[in-house]
Amino acid sequence: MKNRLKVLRAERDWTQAWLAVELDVSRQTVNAIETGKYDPSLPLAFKIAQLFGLQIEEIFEASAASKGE
Amino acid sequence: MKEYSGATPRDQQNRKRYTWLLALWALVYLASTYLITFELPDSSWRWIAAGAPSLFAIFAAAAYWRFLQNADELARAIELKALALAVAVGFVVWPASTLLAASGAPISGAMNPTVLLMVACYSYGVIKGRSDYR
Repeated sequence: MKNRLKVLRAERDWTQAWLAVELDVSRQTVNAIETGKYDPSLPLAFKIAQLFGLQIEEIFEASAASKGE
Repeated sequence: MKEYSGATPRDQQNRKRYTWLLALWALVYLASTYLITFELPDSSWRWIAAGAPSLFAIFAAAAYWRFLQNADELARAIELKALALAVAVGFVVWPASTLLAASGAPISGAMNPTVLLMVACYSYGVIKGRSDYR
């Protein structure tokens, strides 16, 4: 699953560490989500969307492989 | 601004709790083994000494369960994958080693490699998971 987390975070000048604290996850989790290595759970995705003040689909986008399944 | 160095503070605290309980279990296990072998071979106290480690093992398992329940979701995913690997290896090695022992291979209860292999595979799974998601 692709996401715009890194770009959105940079736009707001937020660090991974700050975001991790706000989301109550580890910095490794934020990094893994940003690099696309880990897809967050639905509750975490909602939490991220809420924090950024956006809809989930404005942050996360199903990759081609996921769409085809 | 507060920052998490690695794991969340909650995970660090819960991990510390079950690690201490595991260490305590290991100490009690060694003490019980010593007492049963050298001090209490014919006493009825040996049954208490034999059961004592299980009590600490239950506490440690409960603490680990609590850690898993409250863990950061990526940490939990890594732990569960590592546990799955350990269980899968145990599922293969335990019957194989039992059959090999029955066939005359020099594998006694104390030398059974299953638990050691499971612990090694769990550790490998955790290290690999952490490295994969870095």
